[in-house]
Amino acid sequence: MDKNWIQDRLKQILGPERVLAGELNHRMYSYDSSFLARLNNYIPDAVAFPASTGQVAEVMKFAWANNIPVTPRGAGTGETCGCVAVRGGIVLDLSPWDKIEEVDTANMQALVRPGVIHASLNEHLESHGLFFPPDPGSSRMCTLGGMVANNSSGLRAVKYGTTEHYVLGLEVVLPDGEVIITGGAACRAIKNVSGLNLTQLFTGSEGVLGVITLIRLRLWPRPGARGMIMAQFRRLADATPTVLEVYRGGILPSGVEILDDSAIRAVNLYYPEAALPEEAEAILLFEVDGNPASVQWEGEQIAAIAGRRAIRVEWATEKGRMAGLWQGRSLVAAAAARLQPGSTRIFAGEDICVPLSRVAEALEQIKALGQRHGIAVVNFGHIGDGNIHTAPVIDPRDRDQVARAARLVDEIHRLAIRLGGSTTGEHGVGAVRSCYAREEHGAALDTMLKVKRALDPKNIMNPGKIFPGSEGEQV
Amino acid sequence: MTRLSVKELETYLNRCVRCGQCRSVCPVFGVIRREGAAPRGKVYLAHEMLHARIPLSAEAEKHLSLCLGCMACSRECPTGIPVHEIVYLARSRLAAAVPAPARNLLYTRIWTSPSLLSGAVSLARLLQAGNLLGPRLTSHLPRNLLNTAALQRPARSMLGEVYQPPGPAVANITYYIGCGTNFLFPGLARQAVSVLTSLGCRVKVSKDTACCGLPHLAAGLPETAAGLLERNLAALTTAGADAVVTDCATCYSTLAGDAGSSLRVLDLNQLILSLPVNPGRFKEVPPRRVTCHDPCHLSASGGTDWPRRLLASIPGLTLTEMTGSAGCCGGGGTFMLRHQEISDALLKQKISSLNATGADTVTTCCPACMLQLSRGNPGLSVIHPVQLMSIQL
Repeated sequence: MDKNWIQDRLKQILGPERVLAGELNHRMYSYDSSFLARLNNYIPDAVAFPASTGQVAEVMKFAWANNIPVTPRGAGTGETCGCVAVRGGIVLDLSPWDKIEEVDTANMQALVRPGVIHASLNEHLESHGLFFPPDPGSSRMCTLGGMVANNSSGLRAVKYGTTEHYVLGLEVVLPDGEVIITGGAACRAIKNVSGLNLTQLFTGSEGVLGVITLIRLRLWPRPGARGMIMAQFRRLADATPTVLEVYRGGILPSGVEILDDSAIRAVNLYYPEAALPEEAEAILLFEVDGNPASVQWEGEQIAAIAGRRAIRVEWATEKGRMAGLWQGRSLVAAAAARLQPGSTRIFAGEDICVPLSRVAEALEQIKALGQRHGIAVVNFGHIGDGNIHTAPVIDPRDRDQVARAARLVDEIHRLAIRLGGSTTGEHGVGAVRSCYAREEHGAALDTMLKVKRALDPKNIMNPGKIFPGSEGEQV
Repeated sequence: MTRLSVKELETYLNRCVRCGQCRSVCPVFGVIRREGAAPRGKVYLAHEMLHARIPLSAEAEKHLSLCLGCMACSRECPTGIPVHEIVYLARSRLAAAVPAPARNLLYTRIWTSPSLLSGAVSLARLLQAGNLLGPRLTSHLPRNLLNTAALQRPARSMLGEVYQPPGPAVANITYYIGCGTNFLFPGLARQAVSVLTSLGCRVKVSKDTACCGLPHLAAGLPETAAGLLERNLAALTTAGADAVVTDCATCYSTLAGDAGSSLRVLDLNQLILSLPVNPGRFKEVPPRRVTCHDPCHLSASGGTDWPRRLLASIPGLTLTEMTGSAGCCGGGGTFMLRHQEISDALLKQKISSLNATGADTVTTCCPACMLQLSRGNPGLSVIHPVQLMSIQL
């Protein structure tokens, strides 16, 4: 379909200022953080910036009538190519639509538009003594629409769960332009088991079922105190039993993070002042939050449990010292590239989640896979819930390295399934992990496809995502 | 003034994982809200241009002009990519490919020669003062050129060569006067000289130096910029003072960044803080509520503490911090002329933070910021901290 015609029609629907102009501008919507987007050139035919539910509905009606693919997009910080128009068509950039419609303090909830930045919401809620607990690393730039669509989370998921635990209701524009409200049309209740749970159907649906235009979020009281415990282990195998013993001790930390020896080495290369111990095979970081007395008690307990196996343990509640203990974790993503000069970290195979009991095994095997394929890997992540972020480090100009990295990440994904885990813990499927859907879900994939066909029989909503290529085409 | 080689450029461009963290700090993106305006978008564009997948076109030039050079993204980038330098380098490739004879004449012939620049500004000043351009001609000029401070008789021509302190000299200083102070705020230069001499400095006014070269670098003319820098550093080194001082954060970062071990370049606040001050020497100033705007180049040089410490030493002042004191005011040199609406939007944000403090005075250490802030709120006094000190003399 002619892109100029699509753009002209969109201008008639939305007004010229809400439709992207200029050939070059469209190229900037060809990427997110994924390596797949970097290897390809998925330039959309048009980019629109609707700022009302009515406008989104009008765009969807137009797309529906003309069989044009539509890809909703937030800040484009994802790692799965999820917000990239891999089949062309229209990208809906919802990030400028960033109004916090209401903070209903009496009912502990907020109504927000999809473009609201995660950190902005929490800053806004601070004066109300409330917060929205999921905390992605991209807090300062990612949008809540993107978080809901990907059911994302962060290090505090271990205690607070993921985005889905906080979505009470959604306003969604369906592929044909119809607008529905899930979770009760006028509902402000916190609990609601009436009807099929459409809210959870759309949460994590990655834009393949409709466009999220309003989010009703559950808020929690903001904890008053925080503590940080760091423990260094000579043997990686000592890290997981320590985490399990903390849980058995009746403590649920708000975060449990791990850096393995590859991450320790990378941080030291990047920032020698961090001086992380190179003789350690693992560093664990626990965060606890709550009231000051419970933080004190939990901090002491965790330090004592970790002390049974660790070579060094330190814990703090003072802000500056906590930042010091956290330093290694905060630097590791940027530091990864230092393992191999002239190279870069790529986002591929970076988000597997394995059973807690098999984290150490997964880390060992990923390391072995890296060696077998001759690709440097840095491992870190949310060990508290088994979510491991692997950062392959390659020279993207080197075709051989790119091919070896592709084989490596394929094996990492299959390893996760084999260990009884998932190919993705919090980043999503997008276009990069759809090929594992059959292996991961078996017959359940057919039910997913039935849902997709029922809501989007024309397959115009974010095509090429979640469902494996050949099966997705049959939608 | 770092100048990236193509090889370094490629390494940096490869390192960008497009995480988008720069979206959270870029002032221009904050106004436009289109991915193309995000630093990530500009890095992508530079990458595609380098690999010849995007032609060196006027459209690409327009895209890359949407950068203030504030460096917020370069400081924010988790992988340490100097985005502003990538933008400057990309602009230089465009400058070589997309002809702009008038601009080239201005930057390479006039703005490199102190005498020609002075002559050109004098002519412009006469036209401006006599209102000789007439409505037909002025309608073609950027609105922000007409509503800013009036051009002045250059400081360099008004000041003498050398100023002696009343007593024995505690330091031998060369005063480097940048273009902003020279043509727009000569009063600042005069006051700086009197404060320095009263503090015991022998001040030599540098007359044989030219523009620091940052405007040229930002305009995509790195060779011209390097030539100016080399010439200035040679002249300042020959002057043989204890230190070179400048009142402009941009000139400071440009000169100090490349000065070798034989040349000590200081920001004016920084120099004053290092001098022995007799507390009885200065009078108390009438009560004033002051707030501080941090120029981007001062933030990048790590000097935001200097003006605050200087202000704290002046009795009678109350310093009230504004939210986002380091947020760019939207001046960005010629950016305020080329992208008036974005510049105005940023200025509006800045003025609203300024007004919220209830301050009657805002200090800043960059004549370009002074120029921009002055057109934001006529009721506000916009000055360099040293001008508050001069009131005490």
